[in-house]
Amino acid sequence: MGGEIVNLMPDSSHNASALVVVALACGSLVSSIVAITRRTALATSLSMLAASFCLAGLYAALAWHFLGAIQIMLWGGALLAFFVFNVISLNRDDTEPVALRGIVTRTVSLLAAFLTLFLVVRLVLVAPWPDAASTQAADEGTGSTAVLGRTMFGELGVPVELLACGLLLAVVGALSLTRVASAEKD
Amino acid sequence: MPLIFFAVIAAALYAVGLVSMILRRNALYVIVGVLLQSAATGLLFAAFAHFFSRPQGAAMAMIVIALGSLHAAVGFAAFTGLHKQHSAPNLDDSRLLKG
Repeated sequence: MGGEIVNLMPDSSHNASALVVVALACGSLVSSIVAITRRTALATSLSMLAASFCLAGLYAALAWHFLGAIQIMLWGGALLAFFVFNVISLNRDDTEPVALRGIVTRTVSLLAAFLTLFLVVRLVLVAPWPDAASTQAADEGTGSTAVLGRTMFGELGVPVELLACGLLLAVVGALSLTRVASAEKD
Repeated sequence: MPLIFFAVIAAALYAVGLVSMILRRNALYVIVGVLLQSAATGLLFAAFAHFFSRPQGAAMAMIVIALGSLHAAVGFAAFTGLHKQHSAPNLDDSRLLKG
């Protein structure tokens, strides 16, 4: 498996599998671009749902099926439900979609962002990364839930517990934010 | 499919999220930008974990996915609060987090 994309369709050729991966990648990119360019929040949320499914497919293609399931459960389940709930209760068109105030600062920021992207892509293109043939063969069972679980609750136990604390703090923070807003409104 | 393919896809996703964060003034699209950036980071972690046979990368990808949902939960709470204050949640006029 090392360095090779897992064949999503066992009976088909490797080219068909690569075609599916390219389609998933293009789908995630197009969906994300649609998500940030639509004026209605409902279209944005549905595009993010599509991007989430494409990303889950990419995780599955990388043999991390559990990550794909987590992606769909978190984004497609909880997050998008909350998203659509907000959209249904608060939906309205964006009256001024693109920020024109502080245009100089935003232009400089945008140029800096693209410069960063250019440098990253250039680094990606010139870096002597190992190709598929030279990568080490993966251990038997890599990509399984057991391996992921051993890693998460073994050597990465502290970050995972910190993340759990962060999630708890996020719930408390979200509740306090909505309460502050309600109090200010009253 | 080489590693570079996933790296370029992740970089492009990250750039789309960055553009959304910089150009859009509606809080909802800033949250979407953060989500896209975290998704790009998770994809890159998973790709490196696959190509270098290191499950630590996949665990980090899972942490990044959870962190993205954490950002979104707090962001949507702030968005809802902003919407109660203003009809259009414009971040330039926001005072929600001011002490």
